[in-house]
Amino acid sequence: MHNNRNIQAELEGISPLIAGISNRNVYSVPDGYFEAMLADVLQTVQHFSSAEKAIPGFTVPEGYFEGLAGSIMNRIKTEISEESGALQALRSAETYTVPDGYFDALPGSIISRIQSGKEEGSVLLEPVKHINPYRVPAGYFEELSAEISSRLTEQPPAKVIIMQKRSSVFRYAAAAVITGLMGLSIISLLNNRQNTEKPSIAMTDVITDANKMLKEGDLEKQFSSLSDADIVNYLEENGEDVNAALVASVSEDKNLPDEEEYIFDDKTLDNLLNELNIKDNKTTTN
Amino acid sequence: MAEHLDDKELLLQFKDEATREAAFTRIIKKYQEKLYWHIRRMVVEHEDANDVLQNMFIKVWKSLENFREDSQLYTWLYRIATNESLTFLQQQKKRSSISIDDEESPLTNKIKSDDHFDANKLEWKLQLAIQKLPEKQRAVFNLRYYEEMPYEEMSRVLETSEGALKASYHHAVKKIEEYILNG
Repeated sequence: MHNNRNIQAELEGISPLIAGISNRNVYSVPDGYFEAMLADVLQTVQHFSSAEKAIPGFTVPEGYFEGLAGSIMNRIKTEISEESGALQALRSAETYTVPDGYFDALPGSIISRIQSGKEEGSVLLEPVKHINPYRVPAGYFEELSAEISSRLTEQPPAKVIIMQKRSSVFRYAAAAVITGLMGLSIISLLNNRQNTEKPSIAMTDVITDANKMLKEGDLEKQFSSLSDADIVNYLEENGEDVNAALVASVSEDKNLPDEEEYIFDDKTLDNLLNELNIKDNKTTTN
Repeated sequence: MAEHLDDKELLLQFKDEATREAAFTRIIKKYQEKLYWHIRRMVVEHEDANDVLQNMFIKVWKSLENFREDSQLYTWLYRIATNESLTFLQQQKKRSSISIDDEESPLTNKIKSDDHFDANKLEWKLQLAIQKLPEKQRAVFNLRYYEEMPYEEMSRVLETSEGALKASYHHAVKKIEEYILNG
């Protein structure tokens, strides 16, 4: 039964059975427990309290930081001077000794050994310095050259890139450009002829000579009389890229790298020029 | 009568270092029995109740200085006692190697091992029935049934809404009735 009527009424509403049960305390505590518990807790708390008191707030004497630097410097100076004195005393006390007159005789001794050419180490090594401890099979050197020759013949033939002579390289380049120019000129002249009845005599001669050269196939023969420098100058004056012209003229299609190789290796063009031996020809020819 | 000083006065004295220990002694004396029995009904054994109660008061000593006076000291102490009891029971569960298939829970065994246990008395049957409740619901039932605590205060102690507490208490009574009738 509850003293609180509201709680009793509530409980009766939920369960008359439970409301009828005494709510008296069935548990018990040892005699004097609460007094002892209070003493235990206070003892523990006092321990905490004294531990807290044992840690005072950190303080420094008044003016401590103002004099700190000077104090440290004074201590450093004192320790240095004390250390110096101790080192000085140690320095004067020699631990090792040398024979009497050792340093007087030392220069002369060194000079005489240099002059004799027999330093202590070399005196020991001198007798053995020409002895080779290693050996080779008998007749090795006699057979070596023959063996190398035979192995060389077994090697697969190296890739050969056929190159034109340097002099003809420039000629082919110039011929390619000039042939193109001549072709364009002829087309231009033919167009003009439709507009003007009579071309000039000089241009007619040029066209006649050009047709003759192309028909007889002796363009190379004509260019062979020109120097490399003249051809390079001609190409440059006509706004041509000498390197590009050379590459176009000397490399066969089958020797050109695939497009993918330019993507995978940005030195592909350099490598090709090196293979063709025409890189920086402008510099070498000038 | 120092014991009858109200909680606000005790807290003021506690904040003064000169009267701190005296104030704390009065706080313990004022609440020790109520808190002990609340803890004891939760953990059953006296030794366990004693450990929980002492640890709880030491925590109170350490944190009372920062206690926010917008809640009552009485409510705060009950909250700490309840939480410490629940924590203790959780730790006991973890340490216990008894399988959940075992018929008797450790708390039931502790009740039955009490020197005054009498299986024929309804009061002891009631204790066995209470231990069958889930821990939080057991706290709700004990605070209402034994401490006769208003739902409003229980709400502050357990940080649960009054409606939820009423429902929880109702279900707890029904479970206990069922256990006593059929258990």
